[in-house]
Amino acid sequence: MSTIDYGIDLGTTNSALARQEGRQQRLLPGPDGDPLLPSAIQVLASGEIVVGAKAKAMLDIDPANTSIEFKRLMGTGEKKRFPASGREYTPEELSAEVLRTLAARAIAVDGEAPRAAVITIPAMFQLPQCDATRRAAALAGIEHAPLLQEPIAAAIAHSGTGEVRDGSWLVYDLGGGTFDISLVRCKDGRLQVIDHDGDNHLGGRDFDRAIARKATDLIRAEGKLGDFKRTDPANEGAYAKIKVESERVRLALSGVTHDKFSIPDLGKGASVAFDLDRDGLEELLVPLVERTTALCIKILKRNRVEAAELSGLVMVGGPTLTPCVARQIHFDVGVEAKHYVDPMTIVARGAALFASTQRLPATMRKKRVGAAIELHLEYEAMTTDPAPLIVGKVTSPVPPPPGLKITVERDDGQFRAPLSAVQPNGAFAIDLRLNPSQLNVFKVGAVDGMGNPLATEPDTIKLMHGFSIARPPLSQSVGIMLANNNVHWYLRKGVVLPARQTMTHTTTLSLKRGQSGEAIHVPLIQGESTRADRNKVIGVLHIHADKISRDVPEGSTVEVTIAVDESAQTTGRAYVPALDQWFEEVVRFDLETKPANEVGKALSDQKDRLKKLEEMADELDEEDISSVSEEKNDPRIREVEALLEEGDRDSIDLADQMVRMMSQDLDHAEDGGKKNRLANELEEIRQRASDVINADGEPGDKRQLATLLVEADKALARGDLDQVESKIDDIRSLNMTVMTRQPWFWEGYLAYLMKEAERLGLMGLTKKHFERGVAAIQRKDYHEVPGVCREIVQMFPSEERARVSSAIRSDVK
Amino acid sequence: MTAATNMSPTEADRTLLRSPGLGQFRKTPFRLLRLPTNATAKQAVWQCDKALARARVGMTLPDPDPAPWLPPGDEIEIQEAAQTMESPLARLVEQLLWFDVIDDADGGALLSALTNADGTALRAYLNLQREGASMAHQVNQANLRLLLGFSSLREVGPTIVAAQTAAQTAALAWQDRAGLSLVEDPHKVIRATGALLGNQSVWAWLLGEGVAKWGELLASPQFTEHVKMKIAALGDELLGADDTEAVITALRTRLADLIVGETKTEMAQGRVGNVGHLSSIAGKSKIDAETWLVAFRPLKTQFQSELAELAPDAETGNGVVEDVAAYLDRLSTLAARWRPLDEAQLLGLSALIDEAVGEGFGKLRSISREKQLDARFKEVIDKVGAIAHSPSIKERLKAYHERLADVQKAMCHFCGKRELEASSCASVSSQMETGREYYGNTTRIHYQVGARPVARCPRCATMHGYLKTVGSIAFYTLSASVVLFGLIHPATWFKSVSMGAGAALVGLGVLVAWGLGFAAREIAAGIITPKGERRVGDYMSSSAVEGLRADGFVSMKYDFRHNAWELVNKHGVKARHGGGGGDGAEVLKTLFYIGLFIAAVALKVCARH
Repeated sequence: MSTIDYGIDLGTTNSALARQEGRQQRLLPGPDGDPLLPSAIQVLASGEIVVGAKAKAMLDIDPANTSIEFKRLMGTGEKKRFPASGREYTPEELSAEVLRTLAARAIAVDGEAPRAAVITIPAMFQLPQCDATRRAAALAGIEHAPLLQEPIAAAIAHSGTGEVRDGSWLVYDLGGGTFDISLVRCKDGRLQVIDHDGDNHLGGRDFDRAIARKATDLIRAEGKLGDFKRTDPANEGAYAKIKVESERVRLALSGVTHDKFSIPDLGKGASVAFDLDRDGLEELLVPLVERTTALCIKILKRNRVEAAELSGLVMVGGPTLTPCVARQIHFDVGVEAKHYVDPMTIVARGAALFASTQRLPATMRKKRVGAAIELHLEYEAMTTDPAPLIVGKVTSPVPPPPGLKITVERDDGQFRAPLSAVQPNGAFAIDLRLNPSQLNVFKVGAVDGMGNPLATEPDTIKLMHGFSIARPPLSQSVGIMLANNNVHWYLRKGVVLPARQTMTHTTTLSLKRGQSGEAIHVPLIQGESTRADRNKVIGVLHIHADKISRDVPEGSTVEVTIAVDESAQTTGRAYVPALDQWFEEVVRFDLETKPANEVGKALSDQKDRLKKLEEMADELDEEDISSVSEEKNDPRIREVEALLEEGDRDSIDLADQMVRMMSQDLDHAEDGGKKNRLANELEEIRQRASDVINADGEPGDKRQLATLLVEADKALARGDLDQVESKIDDIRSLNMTVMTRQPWFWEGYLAYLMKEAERLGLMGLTKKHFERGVAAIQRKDYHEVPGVCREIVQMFPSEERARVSSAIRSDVK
Repeated sequence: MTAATNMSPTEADRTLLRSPGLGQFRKTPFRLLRLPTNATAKQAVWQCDKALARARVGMTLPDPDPAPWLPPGDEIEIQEAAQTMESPLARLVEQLLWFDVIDDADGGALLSALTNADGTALRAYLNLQREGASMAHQVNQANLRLLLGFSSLREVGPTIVAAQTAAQTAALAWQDRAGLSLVEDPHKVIRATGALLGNQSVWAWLLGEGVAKWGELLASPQFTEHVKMKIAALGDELLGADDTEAVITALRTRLADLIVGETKTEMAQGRVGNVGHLSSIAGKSKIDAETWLVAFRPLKTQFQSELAELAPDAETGNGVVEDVAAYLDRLSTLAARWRPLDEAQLLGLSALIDEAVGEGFGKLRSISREKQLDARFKEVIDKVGAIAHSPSIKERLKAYHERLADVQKAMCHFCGKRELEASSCASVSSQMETGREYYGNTTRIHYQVGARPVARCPRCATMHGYLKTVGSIAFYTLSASVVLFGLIHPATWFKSVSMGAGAALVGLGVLVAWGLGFAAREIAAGIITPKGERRVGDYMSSSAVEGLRADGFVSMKYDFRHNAWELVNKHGVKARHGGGGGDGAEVLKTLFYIGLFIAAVALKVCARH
């Protein structure tokens, strides 16, 4: 066996293992005959680990010692504690148990567990999550584990198994915990992922959560379990039961039109029961499905593809079996959604097909004993090229015997390549001819200078013609966070993997040899926002100062190269020219997790921002801003609040992600119409300042206004919006200066303050000051009035002070 | 983390590998995969597989490298190249930034010159000026200039000899003028041709022309049609005629990014001269300013950080003026260094300097009014105007000066720190003869009188009042003493002198008393007038005197009593010239002199009898 052949779908809810056998994929079943392995783990008091359906069945009986959906926490520092055994496991250790169980299924086929397998991951997995998946594979004894994005696997399965159709389609992958949407196309047998998007915190689990929330509302209303907080350990069992029942009801409603949600005993005499029909379920799920369809529309719009141009939409994942999903997609996106292949196993099948194109590392290949010539061959095992090239090198003996030639013959005998002479360095190249759209097997051999045949290792190679897979694109941009909250991007979303980028940084401190600490410590982020804090911190770029060979002055350059390979394996290295020294492994992953209070604060900030934007939209009638309406954000705000209330790590992460998405939408709304907004603002201030300055300004003020307006207009014309903003500020400031020189301004301001003081019931306190002010105005002593106004403002409550002070900016004439 | 050494490519290699401009030509799929510009994506993928397979066993593609002086691509770059070919928009951008030797009548010669790195042949191609040349030829001309320009900047590739055209030779012809041999406007020739050039000018010339040609192409409708044709030829459903503008925008952005990328590299290397050349190339291109502004924006932060290091330290206090002065000096040096870097104002350096100047100006304005009237302050604030680029800042400064002058007019002439108060002003008055009329033995002389207030604050008025009192007390005391002494001891005084001489002696005594009074006032003034302020008698430099002189008045009469100007307002100027009433003190003073005179006469009479 020279190719990997095993593909694993490591899912949030279920996992599966498939093996490529010839042109078919075979799903390897467990002892119970089911190819699906629930991704559930129970740790018994003895420390024994139970994986799969048995563990899942214990979820409502022994929730404390049972764990599911740990995939959603991959890459975080969270640990799950199993109190019965007192043991703690990281998410990758738990995933490793699932992988180990799957690998055990292969023993029945090959007699031994696979040492290499393609493992699928959600397309929107961040780099630390990919890294954690790889660690899980290593813990499970899978030494070589290329990662494949789930939608690509699904697309491969969809395209590779049947007749390959040219065209573009969407792969809608709604898993247990994640949602990915990919736009893929097949052209002349070449499968290519054009773009993808997704939500790392949206899946079938959230469907269940919606049903569970309805149940918990009823339980709270009943009141027997108090406020029934999820974070209360006493409620853990009740919540587990609700979760199991929610999933049961959802799955049941895929087959029947109505069902009963019923948990007769939640403890303390509490119970919950209600009827749910498909319409009721739909009502609960539609907001979630709409989040997925919004992403479908977004990806089509971004790639300027009309729904009508699509060849179809492939649905992947168990939750897509929920009846309303396909209907809602058709309604929102305008494309018919179908299950072309079993949505539960399509990913594993695609992974196996892909695995069959991936050659095993040389160290893992089984070598034929007794071969005279050992070859290292380079070729694409899956190609659309009818005349591919096979290039090789003789690795043993070295140097190769003189006159050695390599022979290649197709096993159907219809093609024999001309004898290829081996160069003195052992290299050779041979053009092949393939039978179209089929597996081509070639016999490889060698002849010595005398024409005697020699056995080679390998002696056969297989090339599949008619289908090939383009390299996957990077799902989210990778960059570093700068001090001013800007981002310096290393690799942008969509760049085809493998990819790498080198950037130059400078040290901000002088570093002494042998000093402790980090010479460079820069947060590494993943996301798409140009505002660093909207993205997720996934780790740091760091160089330890204690490794430097001599002192480095401040401001020295450091060249950092980050590379991400096809399976999202990330490596970083740095070069310090001043030292002529390379540093390896400069990337350290550490996925950011925020505490609930921080997420709550961020939510509150965004709510304030939204309010301001809406006010601005009303004023300017700005379309970009109006699109971020309260109607759109309200459900999201409520959802985040509910998630924060739930309080577990996963819910907080989901809340955090939703807040970030809200922030990005608001950023987009703010930035979108910036030019128009500034133009409006400029016009407004032009009018106001001209009125004031032409009437009351001195000649110098008038000249200043004229030049400022010219400069602002020029900046606007050349699109230098920063300059426009700056000039508007200058004009506003000039206007203010002129106004504050005018008696009418202070008369008006004093009158305004008087009105405000009256409203706030401060007249008693401020009476003498007002009298002084009025007297000063009567005797036309305008030097005294500003001082009096300032004294009055100081007497206002602190929360009102800013408001009445800012009123000075508006025209109080 | 582990450290390893001796794994680095050379500095020169790294520079080449990281040059954005060269990277464009080094990593293009058409070079790495040796593809013609009409290759399909499928062919690119196949060629990629072959190139990768070969590269993994140390073999290269059999076709010659069309830019052999550039480093070869590695595995990742080869894969990236193939993937680019599969993305139609990205591919078309790469295609248009490479050499289309198929549709260019001189394409064969160009390809041969490139693969052989033949500088002379390449120069010959650059010199081709074909009427109605194909769009492919025009694109190739622009691209070749870019490739050679970037190569020359990094000092690699074929040497381009700047052959002179006949016109250039003529322009360089030496002329004999007044015994001197000279070339008329050699700078113009150098700018235009790159002739007589060192390497630096060669790359600037080539890049300048390359970017300018691209600017013209991007703006031309023929090029738009050309792009449409190329899109149609690709036949990819993901790219249609509607995307023509997207392709043109992508090209525009790419060109800007290449120049800005090189600018960044040059900045990092400290080659500020080259930064200036590159920004000037950008400014002269016909690519719109907005594209450049966006592309250059990331560089702004580097300049901003340089500026931030100059920021003045002191926030308040006496050190502000000097701190800001030092800041402005540093800023001025920086501005002078930056000016040639951003003549086209695409880097936004002027705006940055103006922002910084504004900050310094703001700090100056925040200090107390009295300090703003110091000469040093004015000196410092003038620097603001000298450094600022923006007319609005200059206007602001001008307006500020005007206001400051107004304020200054409104400040006390003596202390210069406090505002004047009308009731406290001193006065200066004068009269001048305007004509005479003769009536027999009588002559009537006409005078014009004038008076102006000497700006004074209440504090100085009080101080001057005190000084006046000191002088008066000294004078009256001494005068009275002299007269009394004469009255009490007339025999001692007048025994040996005549009555007239005695009276004169008393008069002399009074005069001495007046002198002593004046001296006492001056001594007191010297003691109590704060350092840096004008003394009570220093009124000749006041704007009031200047005003009177401007009106033609010569002799000045100065009154520094605490309410001198009020008295003028009340009684008119004539009061100061004997025509008016004056105040009580004046009457008393007159009475005093009359009294003294009577006393002296009485003394004389008494002595005689």
